[in-house]
Order: sequence, then C-alpha cells, then structure tokens
Amino acid sequence: VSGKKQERAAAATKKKAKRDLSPGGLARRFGGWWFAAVPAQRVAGVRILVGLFAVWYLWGRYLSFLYLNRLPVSNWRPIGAVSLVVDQPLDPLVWQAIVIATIVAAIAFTLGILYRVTGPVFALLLLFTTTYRNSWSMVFHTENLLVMHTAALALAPAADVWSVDRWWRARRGAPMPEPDGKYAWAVRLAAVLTATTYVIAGLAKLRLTGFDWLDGHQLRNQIGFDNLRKALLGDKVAGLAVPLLEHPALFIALSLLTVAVEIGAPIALLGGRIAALWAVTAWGFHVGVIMLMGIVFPYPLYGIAYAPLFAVERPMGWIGRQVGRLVARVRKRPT
Amino acid sequence: VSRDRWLPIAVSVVLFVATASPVLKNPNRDSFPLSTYPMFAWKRSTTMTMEYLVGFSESGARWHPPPRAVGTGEPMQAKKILENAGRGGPPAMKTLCETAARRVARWRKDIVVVMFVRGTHEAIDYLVYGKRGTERELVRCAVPGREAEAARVPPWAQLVPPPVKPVKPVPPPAAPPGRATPGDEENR
Repeated sequence: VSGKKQERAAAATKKKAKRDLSPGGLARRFGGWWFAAVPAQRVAGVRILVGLFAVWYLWGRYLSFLYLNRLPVSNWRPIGAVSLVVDQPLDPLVWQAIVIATIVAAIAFTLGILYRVTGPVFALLLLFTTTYRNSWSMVFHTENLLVMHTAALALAPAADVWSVDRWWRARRGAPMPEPDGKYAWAVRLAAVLTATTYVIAGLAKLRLTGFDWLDGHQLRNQIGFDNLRKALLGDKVAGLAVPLLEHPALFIALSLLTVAVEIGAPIALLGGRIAALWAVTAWGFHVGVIMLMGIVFPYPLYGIAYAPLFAVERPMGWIGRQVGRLVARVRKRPT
Repeated sequence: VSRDRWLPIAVSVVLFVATASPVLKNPNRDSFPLSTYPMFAWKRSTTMTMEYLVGFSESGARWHPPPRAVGTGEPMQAKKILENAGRGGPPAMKTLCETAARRVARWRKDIVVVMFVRGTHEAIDYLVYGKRGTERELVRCAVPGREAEAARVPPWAQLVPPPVKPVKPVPPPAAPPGRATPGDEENR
C-alpha cells in the first residue's frame, strides 16, 4: 500500500513539475532534458559521424585548400578568428602543415585517441583552417555547422566508448560507462545549434527582403541569377532550373516551404517523429537546392547535421555488431 | 547545480549565444563560422552585369572557361577573382587573362584566344530563351603557342553581333557598412 502511495505521490510531483511555468520550474525542466541520462554511445556515435565527415571533407579538398595561397593576394580579406591571428596570407609551407595537422587531428578525433587533448585541438585547428579558407574573398556557408558541432563535442566526454581511449581503458580493466547526463548535453547542444542556424537563415530572408520573399518572385530571381552566373563562369547550370524558371507560380509554394522549414526548425527538438519529419523536409530542401542551383551543402545532405536529433547509437551499434560478426566469421574460417 | 555541470553549462551557453548572435547584427555583415546566412535572402533582379572569360576558336566558336581557369574550383570565388581583376584595371585583367589562357591550353586545343569580358544579361532570357544581352571585350590574350591563329580572330563586334534588344546595364549595388559586400552574401 505504501508503495502505491509513493508512486502516486511521485506521479503527482511530476504532474506538478510539468504545470510549473515559473522561471525556476522551466529551468529545472530544461536542465532535466539537457542532462537526461543517455548511453555514452550516443555522443560517441555523433563524434564518429562528425569526425568521419570532417576527414572526408578535408581530405577531398586538400589540394583546393593548398591552392588558396596561389590566388592573387588582392583576394585576401581575413575574417573571424583568422583576422585576430594573422594579417597576411601564410607562408605556403606553414599553411600546408596546418592543413595536414587538421586532417591528422580529425582522424584522432574520429578514432577517439587521447580525446581530451585531440578533441579541443581538432576543434581549434578546424576553426582556423576553414576560416582561413573563407578569408579569400568568399564566405562559404557549407562548413559553419561542422565547425560548431565539433566545438560542442570537443569538450564533452565523447570518446568514453567506441574509441581507442576506451579500448586502452578496457585493457586496464575499466568498466563500461553507464548511461549518464554527461553524455547528453553535447548532443542536445549540437541539435540546438542545427536548429538555430536554420532559424537565422529564415530570419535573414525576412529581415533583408521582408514578406516579399514569400511571393515566389525572389526565389525565382535568386535561382535565375545564380544559374546565369554559373553559365557565364563556365560552370554547370542546375538540371531543374531552366524547366522550372518558366513556371513562376511554383516558386510561391517553394518559398513558403523554405521559410517554414527554416523558421520552424526548433520543432525538431521535440524529438521522435516530429524531428524525423522535419529532418526529412530539411534534407529535401537541400536536395532541391542542388537541383535548382547546383549548390551542395554536404553536411546536411549526408545527414550529419541532423544526427544529433536521433538516437544514432542504435543503427550504429547494429552496424558495429554486424561488422563484428563478419570479422569473427572470417577469423573462424579454416585456412 | 553540481560542480561537474558548470563546464557543460558554460560551453552550451557560449556556443548557443555565439551561434544565435548574428541575428542581432546587421545581416549584411557576414562572417565565419558565425553567419547571418544571407545567401539566398537578398532582393534580386534577374538582370546582372559581371566580368567573365570567353574563349574563342579560330573559326569563332565560343566557349566559357570553367572556374579552374582563374585558379579555383568554386564558381563564386572565381567571380570574386574576376571582379577584383576588373577593379584592378587593364594590367590586373591582362595578368589574369594570360594565366587563364595558359590553363585553357591544357583543356581545349581549339581555343586560340581568351577574352576578359563584361556583360549584362537577363537571366530568364539567357537561360530559357538563349538570348544574350550586351557584352564588351575589356582585354584579350592569345593562348600560348597559338599567337598566329589568335591574331586572325576578328574584333569583338564582328565575333559577337549586338543583341536585337539590348539589356539595360545594372549599376553595382551600394556596399553596406562593414567589409562584406552584397556580392559576398549572394554567393551561397
């Protein structure tokens, strides 16, 4: 009987806490969500995805990063963190060393090697390398979330499992970590940063163009303008641009959808199916951008931007188990 | 709040406030990684004036060299490089044109001359109906080793007949305060 009473009392307290809309009550609820116990694999999974993307991204652009220093110096306009550190282009060898160091740090970050050191070092190197790249006359918008997510993960215990650090600790008999709030905050933060960047992009449209942005004309003009530039610069015109430019009415729906996805991004923080629906819609928006403007935002396009919204440890754990079984089977096979 | 929560709270607050802070700033002033994300937010006309390169074969066949010709794989960075060269006057345009001509020689054997051009086009007319606007040759340079053929390429007026209905040139947009120009934000 006393057990039932206690349960009832706990349920009543929970209900009361839900109704408590005072600043203190809201802060407690928010703190409960921010630090809710989750498995260590969640933040580790996000670390691996972000790290793999960073390695692929930096490695694939290695030469184009190096070529930056060959551009005419008149194109050099330092911005952000770079403007605080250097006021002229770096010596090509120094720049090459920094790019290589960033790639090496990205690999260490992904594998979770000496993570307490390599995590923050990678975050700083990535910030510098990408900002330096953006200091050559052109501010790209494809690397912002990668840099912010890396910063969020760098100071979190994101390599307590699924890492070389963990393998090393396990050899010395350390137990597997239990689910804990310390594994939640960096993932929550990364999710909030994803939503924030979309909201800012949506607000920028309304701040710069007002509600005129919603009538479809501006979007059509943007697409025409962008593709014309590409054609004149000898680049490919996006596949769907020319057929759709002839149908202005279509752009009203596309404009409304774009702003709805951007301004409505915070609903993804509710999690579950709502997060999935938003993520699929936002991903579709980026696919649309490729088809209409030929602009690739690889970070969201490969789904990494949305990974913090989901329990990534489940599919990644499943993949890990399948790989483990496969390896075991290969080892058992008689030679 | 327990002591081990202070660092996560501080990191969370700093990163969130930093990421959200551009919303309080002038949206024209873009930076990295804290951006106002104004890439598709600008009011646009479909008519634009810009500098670009055009290659011609000896027979007058026209070709637009890719962004790599000016030293980058990114089209919008190429636009900036061309724009900066255009601002630098004939010597800067000539230098860029010659560099591009050397690269073009590796990709297209039929191209004998590269021209630095400023043109004004209407996007829908150009893309949908194939109508070019007005163009002006600013500088030309021969592809190395093809000087003799390049000399036989006729002047621009003969190469590119003027359009039936010329497009009115658009004045460049006024630069907003700060280092960024609308061109920076329109790019991505």
